[in-house]
Amino acid sequence: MIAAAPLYELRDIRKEYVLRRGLLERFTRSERRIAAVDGVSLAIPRGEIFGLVGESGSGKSTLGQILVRLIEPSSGRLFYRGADVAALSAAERREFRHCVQMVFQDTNSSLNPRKRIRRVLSEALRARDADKRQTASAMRVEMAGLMHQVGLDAVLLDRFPHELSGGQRQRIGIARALAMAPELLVADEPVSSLDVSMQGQIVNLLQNLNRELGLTILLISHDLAIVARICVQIAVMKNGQIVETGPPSRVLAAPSHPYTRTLLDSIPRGLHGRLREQPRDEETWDQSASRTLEPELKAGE
Amino acid sequence: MTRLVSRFRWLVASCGGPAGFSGACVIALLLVMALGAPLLAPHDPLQVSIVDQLEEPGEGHWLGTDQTGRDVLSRILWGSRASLTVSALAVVIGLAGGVPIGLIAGFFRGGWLEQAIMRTLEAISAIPILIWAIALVGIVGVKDVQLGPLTITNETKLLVMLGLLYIPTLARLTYTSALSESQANYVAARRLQGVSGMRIMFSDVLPNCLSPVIVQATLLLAIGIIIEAAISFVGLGVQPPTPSWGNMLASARDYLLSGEWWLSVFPGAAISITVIGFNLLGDGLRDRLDPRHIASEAGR
Amino acid sequence: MSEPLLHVDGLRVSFGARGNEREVVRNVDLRIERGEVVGLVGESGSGKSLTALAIMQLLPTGARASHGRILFDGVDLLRLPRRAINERRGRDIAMIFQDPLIALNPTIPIGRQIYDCIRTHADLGHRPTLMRVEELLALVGIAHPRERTRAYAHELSGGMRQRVMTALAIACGPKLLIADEPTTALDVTVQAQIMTMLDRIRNELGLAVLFISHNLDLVAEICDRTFVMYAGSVVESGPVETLFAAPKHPYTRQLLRCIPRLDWATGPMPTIPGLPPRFGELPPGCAFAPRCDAADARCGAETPPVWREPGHMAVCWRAA
Repeated sequence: MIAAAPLYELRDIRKEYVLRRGLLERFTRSERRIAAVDGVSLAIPRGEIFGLVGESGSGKSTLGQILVRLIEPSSGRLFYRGADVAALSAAERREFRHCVQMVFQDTNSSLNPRKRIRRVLSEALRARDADKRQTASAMRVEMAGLMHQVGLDAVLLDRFPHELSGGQRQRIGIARALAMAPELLVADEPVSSLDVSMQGQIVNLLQNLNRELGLTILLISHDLAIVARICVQIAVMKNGQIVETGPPSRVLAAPSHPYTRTLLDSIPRGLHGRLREQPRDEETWDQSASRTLEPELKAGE
Repeated sequence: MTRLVSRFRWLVASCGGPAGFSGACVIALLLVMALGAPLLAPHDPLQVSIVDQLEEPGEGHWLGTDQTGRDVLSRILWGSRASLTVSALAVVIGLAGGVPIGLIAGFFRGGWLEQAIMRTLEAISAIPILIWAIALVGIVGVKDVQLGPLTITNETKLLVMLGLLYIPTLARLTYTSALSESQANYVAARRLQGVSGMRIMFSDVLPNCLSPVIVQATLLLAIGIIIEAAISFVGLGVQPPTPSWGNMLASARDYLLSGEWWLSVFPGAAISITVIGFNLLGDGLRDRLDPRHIASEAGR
Repeated sequence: MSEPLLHVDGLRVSFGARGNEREVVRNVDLRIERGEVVGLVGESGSGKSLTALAIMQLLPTGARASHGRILFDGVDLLRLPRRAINERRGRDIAMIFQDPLIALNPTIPIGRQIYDCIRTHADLGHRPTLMRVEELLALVGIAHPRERTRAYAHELSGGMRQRVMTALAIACGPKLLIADEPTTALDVTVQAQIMTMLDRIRNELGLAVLFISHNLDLVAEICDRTFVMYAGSVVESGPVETLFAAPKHPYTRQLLRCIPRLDWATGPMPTIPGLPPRFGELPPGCAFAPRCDAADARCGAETPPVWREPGHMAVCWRAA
């Protein structure tokens, strides 16, 4: 079997943040840097659903943002379809924007509260078309198509985001991303903020999109069960580094890295988990320190 | 009939309740007074009449006359123009300057530009507006200035000054909202669509920053009325004989204790009622614009 | 038959002005015995958090407990004057929340907060109180308790904050601890540690726990009995083993099916179609009927009866 070239390749990506120190400390010249992403190399195969698993502070969200170029890495290179993303011409950069899109975790902030859904989608379509203007009726047909694709009634087009449920908002987020006709969709914790009874709707939608459109999906999640179900390959992240990669059937059944083992052991097991051993109370100062840096590692720098 | 009632209810609700609605009514009244002064005023506000001096409110002069025989009612009506013009145009200048500055500082944050803008604004707002106003008027002078074909009246100087002084407050308010809205995911989504920063700033971020700004603008309208009155009261604002509520109060100073109550009560009441009206509307709008999202979310 | 520690009887909580009320908790009955761990399960909009807040008399503005009784140790909390409630709160009933940052004062070191709490309710003297603070921190599993008493809330990780909040809650020896989604905001590894901690303090202090969560697996791990809520009312309750092995209410059954598991299943993930009803817009008959896979004509027309067996109840036509 000939291995196809990966759609998106990351080589030794690092992203550092400089801790902002107080006035006095500035003079002592000790600049503390924290690496949110600390040397990650990854190859995302075309047409598959790839899972990125980790807890908060692992750097998975930062990595997702680097992939879609919301953030620039401090060092390392990204190759999309074999081309170095940093060396693209302006036209190619615009095309890149169309190819790689993102779906966000927080459905409340992912849609502009003042815009009706119709406008959200029409703006996305117009951004895709840029110079070529579509007729209003062609636009309407496309929007109806997008709504249908994500399983929503077109009547919701006239609503505001706060009139929709979390699951519906998430679907709109997916529709908006699809409006750009992307090749790769980065889904950053797409179901974490949803009720369990609704999570399946989004997960199934993503799986269908992958099957029917051949859409490559990078699923970032902390939920091992979901990732195991739909991903063909997964990577486990801890402290900015990838500790293990492979198909879920191997990584989750027979993990080689102790952290993966810990993650698996921590999943609540319901009735079977009723007798628990004493925990390791290892919360050290270092971990506390990393927690105060979390706000600086969030989206948008 | 029921349609009218429900329309009325909607109107009251849009102002944030009955209090806000009364505020809006007061302002509507003010607008009618200011715009309709030429038609509504029974007498010429500048016409002196030695015969009618210091007449008590009654027939012919519903609010009485002042020491030169001018009709108080007409002067109040015409004086509303000065108050409204200064206060409204000052707010317009403040918005036109403050909102873009705050927006840019909040959206393109990070770096020296943001710091420079915000620190300058903070320095300016460290001094109360009234002190600034008096100081600047002292510098700029009270006389009318000729700039080619344009005459810059004292009123104009006052409102420009006031507008500039409003800029820090409005900029800071916009900045705070812009800062948090710029980090929202919907902004990131627009960036991913390849839309330019300026476009996102105006079309996505700005509308979400306006609620607190609108509320503050209403309150600044109230402040503007007071400042115009205060400045005119000390003689640095609208110059007599042009009527202004402030300078009407000033000329009533000598008559406070001698029984000609109508000279000070009516202009004072006009100022108070207008300011209360703006404040009520501002409060009502604040309630209406902010928890609206929260209220509709409570249903989910 | 001894009296339960907590007996919520016919509780109704509504929002909004009179005449425009929406009921968000509808006729809820709950019982917690001394030393028991009871789970309260539900998704968003089920009213579980509001029920807990009603018990603590901490309902947000605009919400009112309009009916029913909340009997704690025989005393109706809804009828008590404010001072009496303040005494009971913290001393007899305590609560920990999803976000510890809300409960912890950011400007006071955590040791001091616990110290103040103990001093408010008991007069132990300065040194004994300090020692108690350290004991409590050790009890909730914080290593090096003496050094940690000087820490501020924002210096601690999420898991540690949760432990501190728990220490604060149990400081005065309450009989009932209400834990409202205590691990939802935490990573799964930290969540496991917190669950063990809760189990341990329950064993050592013998207190009763009302554990509120949307995560059925967590509830199954720690609870003896569980109440399942949907659209503001309890749809099923019973011992945890029975509920998991043989649920009687379709909502419980369908919900259990939706939980993602590492079971190497393929094919689409099960979901419950549709959306929960909005407050004030309840369908006739059973509130769950529109989404239920076992519903028939009767379910959409008439309110279902309460089916009972000793210790197990479900509100469904199909339960029998």
